[in-house]
Amino acid sequence: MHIMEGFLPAGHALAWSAAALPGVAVGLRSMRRRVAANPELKLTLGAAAAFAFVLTALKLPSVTGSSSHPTGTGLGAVLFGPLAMAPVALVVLLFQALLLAHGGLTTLGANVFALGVVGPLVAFALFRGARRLLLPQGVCLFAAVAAADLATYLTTALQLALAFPDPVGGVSAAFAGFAAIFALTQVPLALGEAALSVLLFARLARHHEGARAASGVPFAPQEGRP
Amino acid sequence: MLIDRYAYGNRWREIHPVVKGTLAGLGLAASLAAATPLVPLLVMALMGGAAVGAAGIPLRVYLRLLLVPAGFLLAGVAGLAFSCSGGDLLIGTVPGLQLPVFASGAGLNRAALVLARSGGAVASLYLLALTTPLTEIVGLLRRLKVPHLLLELMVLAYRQLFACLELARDISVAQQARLGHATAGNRLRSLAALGANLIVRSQWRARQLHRGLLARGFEDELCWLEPERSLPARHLILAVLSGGSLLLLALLVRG
Repeated sequence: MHIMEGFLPAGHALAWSAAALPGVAVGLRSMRRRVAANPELKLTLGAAAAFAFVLTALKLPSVTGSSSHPTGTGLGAVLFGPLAMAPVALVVLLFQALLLAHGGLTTLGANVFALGVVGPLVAFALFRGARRLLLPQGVCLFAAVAAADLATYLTTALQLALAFPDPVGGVSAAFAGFAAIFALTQVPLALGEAALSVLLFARLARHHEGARAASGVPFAPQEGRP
Repeated sequence: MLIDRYAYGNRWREIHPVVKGTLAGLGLAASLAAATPLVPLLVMALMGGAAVGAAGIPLRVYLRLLLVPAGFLLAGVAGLAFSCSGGDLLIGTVPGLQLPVFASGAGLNRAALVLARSGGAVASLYLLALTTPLTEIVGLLRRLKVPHLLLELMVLAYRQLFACLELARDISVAQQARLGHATAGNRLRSLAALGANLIVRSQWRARQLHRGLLARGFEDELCWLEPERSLPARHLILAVLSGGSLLLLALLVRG
């Protein structure tokens, strides 16, 4: 979920951009290093951004009837590592603002922070942790993607609450209010996307070995360094 | 994609992206800096007028696009206008939870300001998005010294985007024809199959693209040409004057 254009006051928009900047910078640095070792990765990540954009354009069937779309950051963090996701999320969010009128330029920083920094880190940490407990891969993936979506949405609610604290109850009351309103769409979305990711992974595993090798997707989730 | 189509075919296409970027940027700044709903509404009028009147975006299309963020706006503004912890006026209680809901004058004022501010900012964004193709916006970002790797990523993603969308659409049609979307369970399974195939195909295409580039002497940086546009001084002055005066007005009118 992202915050629309112009919704955050100027100070908050700037502060969240400043918060997202280190994430993007670290991501770009790690990407530059990996691209130097393997030039093809640049094109692969470009394709990953295009894939993520198309994925977000798909509608998920949702329990409450509201249509919501997957974010793909949890899956991306597991496939490509969490650091690369910040620049990729930046590109995808910019495209969404300019091509689909979802999100915005002034709220780009806040959205990159929630979707590109918090979500992937939570997903990756949870995936690694769950794998260490020797849980089945599907369970780990489900937990990681669902947690990434929930963490992203709670971060967004926090961003809104900090910008618009409740006159009586303060930030915590406003946070509860925003979290409750958006929970209607975001909780079913998190479960739906987690289920989708597990099914998608199972599909990938069934692909012909040759097709997998030719496409160069790192199908086994990255167990090693980010 | 609707916006992309108009970005390539509008009467402001030939205007230098710097001019359009300056105008939209000042409009965004004025909307965010405003302390009353007046200036954002003026921004909205100016940007809407420019997009529909000058750039020739059909009014019907423009209004439809304005409805895109309506869902978020409604939920967000509801969160601002109403409160569960106290206010001037008790409206009712949430059924089942026994949670009281209040409205207050301050809350409604704040909601009105945020609504106006979002309107002005969205209109500014639309002016840029509807008149400038993404490739030229990348050129604009290059002038703003955005890291080259990020720009390359954008160019590559934009290139792949339409192939991906077309493939997704074709797969989806094929799945629908085979009752793949008939039930919620089928739709989830179909979507997973679509995603898995899309990932493999798009990565395969990226690999092919890399081979094609290598064959043409690709080393490590992608280079591309941007269309040459003239930058008449009067365009720039007009953009700075109209946007700047709104920003000034926003800074002067403080409630």
